[in-house]
Formats: sequence, structure tokens, C-alpha cells
Amino acid sequence: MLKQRHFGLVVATGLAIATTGAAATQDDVAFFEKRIRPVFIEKCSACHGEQLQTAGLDLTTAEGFFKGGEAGPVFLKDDPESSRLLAAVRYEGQVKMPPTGKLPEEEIEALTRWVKLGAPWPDAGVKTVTLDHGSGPKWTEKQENHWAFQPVLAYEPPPVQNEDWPQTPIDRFVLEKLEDHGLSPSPRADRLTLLRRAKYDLHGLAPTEVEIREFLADRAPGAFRRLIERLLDSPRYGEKWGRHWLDVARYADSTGLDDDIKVPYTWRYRDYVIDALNRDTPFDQFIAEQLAGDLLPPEGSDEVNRRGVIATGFLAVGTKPLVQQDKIKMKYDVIDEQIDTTAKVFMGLTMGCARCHDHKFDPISAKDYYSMASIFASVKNFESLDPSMTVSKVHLEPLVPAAKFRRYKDHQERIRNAKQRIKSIVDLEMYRFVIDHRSPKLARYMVAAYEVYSDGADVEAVAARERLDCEVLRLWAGYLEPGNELLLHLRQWQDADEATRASVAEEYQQRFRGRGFEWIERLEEWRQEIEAWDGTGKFPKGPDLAPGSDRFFSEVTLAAASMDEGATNVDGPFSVPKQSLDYVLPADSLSLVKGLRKEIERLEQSAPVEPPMAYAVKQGESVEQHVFIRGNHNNLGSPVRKEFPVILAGNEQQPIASRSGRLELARWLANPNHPLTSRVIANRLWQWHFGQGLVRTPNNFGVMGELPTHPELLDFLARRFVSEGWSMKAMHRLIMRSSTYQMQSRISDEAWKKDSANRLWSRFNRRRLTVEEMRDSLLGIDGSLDLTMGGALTESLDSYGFDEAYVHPDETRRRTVYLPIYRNRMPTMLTLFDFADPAASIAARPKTSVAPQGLYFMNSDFVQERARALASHLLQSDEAGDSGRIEKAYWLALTRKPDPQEVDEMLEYIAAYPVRENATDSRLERWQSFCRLLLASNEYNYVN
Amino acid sequence: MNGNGQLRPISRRQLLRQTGLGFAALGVDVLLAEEAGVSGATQLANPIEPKDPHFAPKATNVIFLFMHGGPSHLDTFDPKPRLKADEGKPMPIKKEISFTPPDQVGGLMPSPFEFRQYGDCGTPVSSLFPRVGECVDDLCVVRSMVGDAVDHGGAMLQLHTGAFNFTRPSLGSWVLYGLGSENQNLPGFITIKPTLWHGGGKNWSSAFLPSAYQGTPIGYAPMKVDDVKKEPIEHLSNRNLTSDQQRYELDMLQKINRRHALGKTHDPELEARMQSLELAFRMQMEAPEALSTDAESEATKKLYGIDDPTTSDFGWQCLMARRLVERGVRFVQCTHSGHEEKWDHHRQVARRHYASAREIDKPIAGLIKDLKTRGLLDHTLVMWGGEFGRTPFAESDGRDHNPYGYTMWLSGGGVKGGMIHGATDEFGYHAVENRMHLHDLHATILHLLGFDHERLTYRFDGRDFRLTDVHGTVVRDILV
Repeated sequence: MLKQRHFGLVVATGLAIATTGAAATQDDVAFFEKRIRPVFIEKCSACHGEQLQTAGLDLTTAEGFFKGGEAGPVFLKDDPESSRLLAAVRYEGQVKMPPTGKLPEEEIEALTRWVKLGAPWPDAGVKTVTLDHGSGPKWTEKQENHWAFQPVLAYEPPPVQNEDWPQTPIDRFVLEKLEDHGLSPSPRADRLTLLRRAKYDLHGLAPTEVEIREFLADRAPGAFRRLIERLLDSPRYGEKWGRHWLDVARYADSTGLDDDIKVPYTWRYRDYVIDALNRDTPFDQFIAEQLAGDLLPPEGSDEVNRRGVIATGFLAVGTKPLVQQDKIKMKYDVIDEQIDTTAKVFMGLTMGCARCHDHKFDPISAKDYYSMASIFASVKNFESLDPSMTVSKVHLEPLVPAAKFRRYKDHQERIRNAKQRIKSIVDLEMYRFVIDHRSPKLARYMVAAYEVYSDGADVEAVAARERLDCEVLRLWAGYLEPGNELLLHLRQWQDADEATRASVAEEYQQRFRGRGFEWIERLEEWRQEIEAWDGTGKFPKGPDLAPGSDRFFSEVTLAAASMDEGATNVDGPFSVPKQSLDYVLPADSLSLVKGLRKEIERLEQSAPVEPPMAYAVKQGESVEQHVFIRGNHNNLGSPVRKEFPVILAGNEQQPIASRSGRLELARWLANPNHPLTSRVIANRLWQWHFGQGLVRTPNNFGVMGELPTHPELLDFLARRFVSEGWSMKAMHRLIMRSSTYQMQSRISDEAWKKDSANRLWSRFNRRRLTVEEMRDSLLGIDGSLDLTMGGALTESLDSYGFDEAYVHPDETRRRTVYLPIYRNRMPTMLTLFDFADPAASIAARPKTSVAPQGLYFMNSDFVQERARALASHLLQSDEAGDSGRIEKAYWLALTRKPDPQEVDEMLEYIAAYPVRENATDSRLERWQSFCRLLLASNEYNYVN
Repeated sequence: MNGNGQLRPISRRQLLRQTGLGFAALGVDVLLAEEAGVSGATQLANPIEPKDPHFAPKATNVIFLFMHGGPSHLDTFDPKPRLKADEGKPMPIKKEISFTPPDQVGGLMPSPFEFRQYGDCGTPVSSLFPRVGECVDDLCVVRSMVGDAVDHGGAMLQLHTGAFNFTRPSLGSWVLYGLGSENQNLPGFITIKPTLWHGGGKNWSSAFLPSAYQGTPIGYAPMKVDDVKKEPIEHLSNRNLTSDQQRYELDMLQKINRRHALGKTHDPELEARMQSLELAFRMQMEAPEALSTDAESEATKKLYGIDDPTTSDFGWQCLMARRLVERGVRFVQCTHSGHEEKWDHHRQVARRHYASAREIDKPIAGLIKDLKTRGLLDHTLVMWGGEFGRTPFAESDGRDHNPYGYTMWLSGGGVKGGMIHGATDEFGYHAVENRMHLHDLHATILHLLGFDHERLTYRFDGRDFRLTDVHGTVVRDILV
């Protein structure tokens, strides 16, 4: 069947299943894919696979399996029970497979069952059937006709009965359906409700007293429109809507997963997003910048496209398993993360599912996946994939021209080298000193120390008698005294008795000196290498003491700070204290060291400033990408070209010739005719205004996703979005000016009965404040919110690595969007109130009501402090009396005037509050309680 | 509750409690839902209400004693005489991926600790765990554990969540999601002094499950117990107000909330939030008793080693675990960690394993004995283990990570005592007999709790997820 698509592609479907074993039923296929193929791939393919066919046997394809090996067939169709495969895995015959160990019982059972069934191999007769080029996808009609892959059509807003209601085309689409279902729209919300709704919607903050006054004073028609414009013009808008984007872009400041390493400069991407929203960057450009900004030309005379580079943080800020030891797997885990995120965010497709096999539900093949992977595989995400790096490092991109960056690096290198030179001199002289002056007395120190720690002899007396250094002897006694620890290297000493002690000590001394001479020799070699270094290539690397190879030697000579992990926390008895180092240096060495110190000082003073950097990606080398069979990078399938998914781009694509393909990907996504991009973002915009999308699975427009409640409206919005120049602000205007947006949130009995989930939009969805809105407006209520924009919140954000500390939300008054987010160490406040877990793209935040949230409002320092701040603010204000204060509080917190009986009730509440006898400021306490209950109330925490 | 255990038939009492939570509000327009291709509507019930599993469970509670860093099976529960015989020789098996640089791989390293057979079953235990040794008749020692990640973070995530390169819900979250909690005044999944390293919060996070199922930490690994005791659960206590003052305030708060809800019918969320405030108040009243060990007898405290500074920290953790399980908390984890891992001994494995074992031998034996005496062990599954074992070859004077074959042990909760399951090769490097992958462990734990691990699923982004992904086999040999 051939079918012409609007998006310019030709698709062939239908595939004959050939088998050499039994015909495979659907159950067989499932059984095979789940229980049999994984065994062949994981346990057999290393020796019997595409790369290597030991004994001529390939167990990864049906062809190979049925052909058998050099010794004949492994499967007997007529007598399956006697198949050699079974004998081998049961360890019954001469050949026992796999040789590394018998398979688990259940795998043997599964293989037996499968062989008895006649070895149904679903894609038998065709090698890697779905993966080969040109073999044609095997999609069902349902997959192919899936609504989201069809072109976006132009729909006229439909006629409706109630012609008075619509204010925008949106309303016609909504009202038509309501009328079809015999429902009427909820009445228009009052002005204050709309003010509060719009203010939280666009800024994530409560209206201020000034804003309320201003809006109420504007009595002319179009006041709400003017309000929308004011709100859209404020930078607070980008902080609120940028956060929506950061949810789907899974933004965080650390790598998450295994070691959650803190990455510097992440915030530049966050600030870029906020700025892009505030500038109303057209969405097609927004896509291009985030996927390939580094490949876009810089503006004006700039050498580097700083903005573009920073924008690719979109690709960089995902989770990264930096401690994974299989570095190739690590690379492809990150590529997978980027494909999955990109596909979900821009196309609403769950492409990650096609990493190991063709997508189970959607018409996305593993080949499609690896075609995308070939684009991302050439992205540089890491400093290197060197397998000897236990913890890999992410790539950080300088925002200055390469030459300037190199100058900076070279200078830093010179400083490091000078420091290494000092170390080489100091270490050598220190060990010479220890061996020449201290080690000849080692045995005497040990014996004398025994007297001190065992017999309780006076250390000064013993030192004087033996003519030993008293302080050194004290250290020896402390070091040798047996404690609760198990010290194998001191066991010989501890086991010695009166008769043997002196000779055992002598043995320790001999070994110590032998080791010392060796070590000094190696330090001398290092110095010679440094002397001989001609300034090119790598600076000679110093030798490694490897304390574990001689625990006694290193414990005795090293200061605690220089020991490796798990060592004592006391200085070695022969260690030379840092402050004494200069005294053990001979004069010539000392002057060398002093000269080097001066040089370092000079270098540090003249060092170029650290260039600004970004956590961003860079174009790396192009790679020839293969399909990885079952997602295993050691198991290569056919090679793929840089291409887009066939269901969308067709079977006859021009392969991408450029080294990268990212820019082509971005352009392809931003093509107005792409059936998904404009729909997916239009749906998100709707969802972010109304709480639910027209498609209620915003990250999944595939077969398993929900269908749009209003497909025509969705297409209308998608087309309008494109025709308005991909402008988000234009969409805000369109949506917010609609009657649909301006309805009350009240739920009528009828609407509840017919449409409890509000799929028809007969009312506005009441919603709880997000955690950002909650925290920011609690800070804003007395004017404490710090509205500084952008930048790193603390200095340490620009450092790299492990860091247990994070910025506690209580420690800053900046907007919540600027808090650093460490994936594995999220502040309780954020997780408690349903913040988007940045482990993956989050399309919609969960909604929970749990007791710990209640505890937070009752007991947290933050709420206590905010209630007190509001109380002080009220008490200090010049409102007329307590009634006036209560009224002010209602305006500030709830954007409304309290009823007279509410005022009375609260006055009574404050008066009767059970103040403690020892209260320092009982008035403040009473008002604080009043404020706390207002801030904890449902009315405060919900937007109508 | 996709594919999950059914909610129990609702009693009148529950109904009364839940009406406000939206049960009465389940009149969902199925037609509209079907139009959109969804199977049903989400319901807003109390997420941690007790639920019945798929079949009758053997265990109703879990205590996981997690050994951060990866204790050496070769020095604890898996004796390998061959290492003594071949001491210092190069390991004859191909070295798998691990952390030791190739030039620093040492020879085979025998255990410095003597093994002795204990109990009626004769299971050997090294001199590191003489008191745990006394409990072997209640232990099932699994010597054939296998994981896929060789780094701490990956291995811990796989141990706790089943996955090492994706963020998935924690085992405890799955259990709470499946079973709910028997005690509504305490969190249902508690992790005591967890480490913030190596996956940190992800090891007790609910990931895409509703956050009601996430673990609640009591302190963190580096904290001193005395500091933890001051406020065991964040925001649990109020430093400024008396409970009378709070009740007075809460009464008015609920009054204005109820008034606010008037005319806002059919909004179960508003009601749910009111309920959560009440629940918080009750939790605040009742949890401190559960979280204090003051009422325990001196004899009990001694049994756990709380009187000895070496054992007092982990002893307190173990005693707390018993108290919480006794009060219906579903899943409790104790973590043996500190400022750094307690068991990650790439250097000086003898000295440091010795020091670490001293801190936990008595508390763990105390816990097993105490649970048994109180009849709790029958339905409480106790698990012991780290994120992996360690290598038979030396790395300096320590051992490297080894996820290819290592030991964990299980006790109680429907697991056979006095048995050894599986085996590693003669060097203790790979599990070769009855290999038990972490997925199999998870499948088995869920089975003990009454779940078919393939049916305990949750739909997220259009896909049904489960703890064992597409893997896992219940290991029936170790079941009673």
C-alpha cells in the first residue's frame, strides 16, 4: 500500500513474516522477545554474534541459528528435545555453554520451552528485519493514520448559537462543543478574580496594592487588555514562563544520577530562557538556538555567538552518569537522554523507547532512533571519554575566541608547573632529611615509645635519657600504642615480647630505610626529568608513593593531611611539619624554592582573568553510527545515515551531509508544515494557561497519548501561532482575551455531572499555587522579595565537583526560579510542593495534598518568619485601627476586601488568642497567628 | 491505581473519612474520558490508605540495613580458602571493569579474618560478625548477588530503584504505593540517616509516582544521633507555639477554609488540603512518641548496644526501625554511613572493615533477636547488604568494587532461615551458581509482600513502569 502524505513522504507498509522454525503467533513473538532473544544477545552473542562466529555459529539471527555451526545444527526440527542447544546449556554433553557459568534455571527452562515449541523466530529469514535500510517499516494502519502525524489543517471558527459569548475565535470552538453537549459556559469572573488570575498566570505573584488600585481605577473599556499588556511588558513575565520551559527542559545545576556532580555556569542557560521569553524570541528561533545555537553565526562583529552557545545548554543540562565506568555506554546514555528530551519536548514523541527495539506502540523504528543518534553522536558532551578517568568531566565551552582561551589555559599551566617544581624539590629534601637524620634512630624511638605507652614512663625523662627528640618520641608513643584498631602492619611489633622487641624494632628500621632509599631514588629521577624538560609536551609527572604498598613507611613519614583515604588522622612521627620545611632544605634548594615562589606570585598577578564559560555543547567529530542491537553498543547492527523519523520525513530523504545535522534538525522541526512541532507547543501554551492541555499528555502525542479534546481548536492555535511569527506573547493575548479564559472557576452541578474533568472547558480550572508562586508571593507580601535578575546565586556555583551544600531556600530572598537545583539534593520545600523533578522532561507537575505540607505551614521557619513579617508590616502601617489592618491583610493576601463580619470575626480571634504568659510581644504574637492562618488558608493558596 | 492492588472494600469509617477526599466525587464522565482515549479518571483518595496486594503476603513490613560503600563478601559471609592458597598470585580470571588502574591491580588477597561455623545450620561467618553469627539459623545468606553498575552511585540506584541510568521510584516507594500504610500518623516509608551521596535523595524518591510515596528521611548520615533526635522529621515540631495555640489557630483556619469552600462545590482538592492539615496536626501529636526511644527498657537499649559509644549510632537506628515497624510503618531503611562510606575500602580493608563491623555487629544481632522475641520477625523482612561486594584481588592493601558476585542476607518475612543460596567461583569474583540479580531480589521482595512484580505497575508518559522493568524472576528456593 502506498500512501501520499502532506508532509512530503511516501510510506510503504506491510511485511511478510517468514520463519524457518514454527510460525510465530503473537504470544510466541512476545515470549521470544522477552525471554529468548535477550539470552542469545546477552549470554551468547559475544562469541556467537555478528562480529565473531565461534565454531561458525551465529545465535543473533534466525538465519544463523537455523543454519547451525561447524559441528552441525544446534536445533533439530523433528526432534527438538535432542537439539544440541539444550544439551549445551544444560551442561549435559561435552560442550557446556556458556563457558563462564551455567545459565539460571529459568533461562534454561525458557529455552527448553521455546525449542519444544519448534523455535518460532519472528523475523526468521530476514536478517535484522526492521533495521535494514529500505526494508520498509511494518506499521499498522492505525499507527499510520494516527491523528498527530497528519497535517495541521486550517479550520474556520464554527458558528455557535450564543453569538454574544465569543470574544475570540477560540471561544467559538469551545462553545460549539459545550452547546453540543448541552452545557453552558460559566459566567464571566469578576474583575478582582481576573486580576489575581492574570497576575499569577503571567508573573507568578500576587497583585500588589498599587496594581490593584491601578486596575480598579481603570474604568474604561479594555482595562483587562491593558492589564495583560502591562504584565507582558514586565520582566517578571519571563521569570514565570521561563520556569514553565525549564520544567520541560529538565533544567538543573548538577548532573544527577550516580554522583550528582555540581556543574558551573548552568545558570547562563536558565537566564537565556528567561531573557528569550521576555524578548518574545520567535519559537522557531528558540528551537534553533537551543539545538544548534553554536552553529548559528554570531551577531555583528562578535567572534563567538555567545547567546547561541549558551542556548545549547538545553542539550547539556540533562542528567549524566559521570561515574559510569563503561565510557562508551556513558556517551550513549547521554545521547539517549538528549534524543528522548528533544523528541518529547518538541514533538511529543517518546523516542527513547526505540533505543533497544522498534517502538512498541508508535511507528518509530530502532533505525529511526539511531538515525537521530547519528546526529547527536557527533556532539561533544564530555571533556574526554578517557576510561582511566574515574569521574568523567563534562564539556564546558568558553565564550571567548579560542586563541584567547588558550592563552588563559597556558598561563594557568605555567603556574601549575611551577608549583610542581617546588614539590619536587621539597619532597626530595624532606625525605633525604628523614632518612639521613631520623631513620638511624627509628628502632630506638620504637623501643623508647614502648616504655612510654606501655609502662607509663615519663616521656621527657625517657627522651632525655635516650637523647631523643621529646616531641618526636611523643608522636611515636601515640602512634604505636595499641587501640581498638586492627593494624596488620604493626602486628609484628605488637606481638613482640621483652626478648624480641629490640630486634623487631631493628627489622622495622631496616625495612624503613630500604624503602626510603628506593623512594628517594625515584624522587631524584623526577627532578632530573624536570631539569631535562624542554618546555614542550607534558610536564613530567611525579612518582606515586602508593602508601598501601608500605603502610608503615607512609604513616611514619606523612602528615595526616597528605595520607590517602582511611589513614590515621594524626601526623606521622617522622613527618616534617609544614612550617619547618624551609629549615630542612639545604641553602641552594631553598633559594630555588624561593625563586619559584616569587615566579608564581608574579604569574598569578599577571594572569588573564578567567574567561566566561557556558555549560553547553560543541560540535565534535562526525561518527559512523550503527544500529545497536538491543541497545547494546557492543552489538553493532547496520550503519545508519543522519535522517529524521521515516513516519514524519518519509522514506526518501536527502541524507544530511553536514558534519553535525543539528541545525538541519532544528530547521526541520521548525518547518511550519511539521505536523507535531506547532501542535505540541500550542498545546503547552494552552496547558500553562488553563492547567490542562487540549491533549492531556503533553509529552506524548503518540498512539499511547490521549486524543485532543478539541482537535480543530488545537490545529487552529497551531496555525495561528505560526502565522503570528511563532510569537508566544501573541498567543497569550489571544488566549487571555477569550471568554474561555475569563470564565469563573465555579463548578455547577450540571457541569460536574456531565464533565467532571472539564474536558469541554465549561469553567476555568481552579488551581493551587505552584511552589514558586507560593514562596515568591510569601516573600513579596511585605515587600521582602529581592527582584534582582539572573546570575549565579553564590560564588561556589562556578566551581565544579562534589559539594554537599546547597542554597537553602530560606537563605535567600531571590525569586525561586534562581535557586540552584541539585538533582539529588532537592530542598524539602520544593519536593514537598510538587516541584518538577528535573530527572527528565516534566510536562505537567504532579498534584499532591499530603500531611507534610500541612506540617510545613504549621511549623516551618519560613512560614513562621513570613507571618511575623506580615504582622509587623500591618502593625507598623498607618491604617486606621485594627479593622483597617485586617482589611489591608486581606487585600495583600487575597486581593479582596473582607466582609464586615469577617473583620469582626478576626478581631475577636485576635483578642481571644491564647497568648502565653511569658510572651515577649503578645500583640505581635496575636497578629502573627492571624497572618499565619490567612497565609495557610485555601483561599490564599488557590487561584480562582 | 493502574494495575495495582484493589482498594479494600471501604468500611463506613473509611468512607466517612474519605468522603471529603473525593470518593463521593467519582461521578466522572466516562464518555468524555473514553473519547480522549483514557481508561479511567484519576481519583483523589488518600494515597497511603492500606491496600490489599495481589495475593496473601508473607511479609507486611521491610527493614533494609544498608551498608554504604560495599562490604567485602570475602571477609564476611563468603569464605574462599583458595585465596589463602594462592595468596599474592595474579588473578587467573579476566578482570572486569572496575576502578583499579591496570598497573595497580594486586595479587589475590586472602581474608585476614577467620571464619567459623555457627548455629544448627553451620553457616560460616567471619570473626567480623560474631554476634550476627549467632543468628544464622534465621538468616538466608545469598552468596550469588549480581548487579550491573560498578560505581557507587549507579549501584546504589540500581539496588534502591532497579535502574542505574534512569530515575525511577525507590523500592520503598513501590511498596508504599502498593500496600499503603497501616499508620496514618507516621510516614509509610522512612529512611534513617541516609547518605546524601551516590544518588542521594534519588535513593528514596518516588520519581514519577505521586510524592506521597517518597521516603521521609530522619536525619542524614553525617549527623550525630543527638542532633537527629531534636527534630527527627523536618517541620514535625513547633518551637514557638503550644499545641493549644496551634489547635486554636487550626480551628479558625478550618472554619475559614470551610466557608471558602461554600459555593465551590465539587472541588475535592480543597477538601483534600483541609484533610492534610488535620492529618499534619495529628502526626505532630503522635509521631514524637514513636520517634523517641525513651520508653525502652535499659535491657533493650543494651541489647542494641546503645550504651556503648561504638555501637550507639547504629543501635539507635535499629531500635528505631523496630519501633516504626511495630507501629505499622511499611518500609524502614537504616544506613550505615557517615561523613564517608563505612564500607568502601580500596585501602586498608582489614583495618577499616574491622572498625566498621564493630559498630554494627551487636545492633544487628540485637534487632534480629528483638524482632523474634516480639513475634515481629515472622512478618518483617530484614535485609542486609551494600551496593556491591569487593574484589578478591588487592588494590593497594584494599579491595575494589565487585558487582559481579557478592553477598546479601535476608531474614524473616517468609524467607527460609539457616540457608545459603547460590555461590561465587572459587575466588569469589563471579556469582556462578543460582545467580540472583538485583532484579530478582526485587521481584522476590515484592512476591513476599504479596505482589506479582509484573503487575505492580504505574503509568507515566504513556508507558506502564514497574520496579523490575522487563526483568526479574522470583527466587522460590529461598521462600518458606
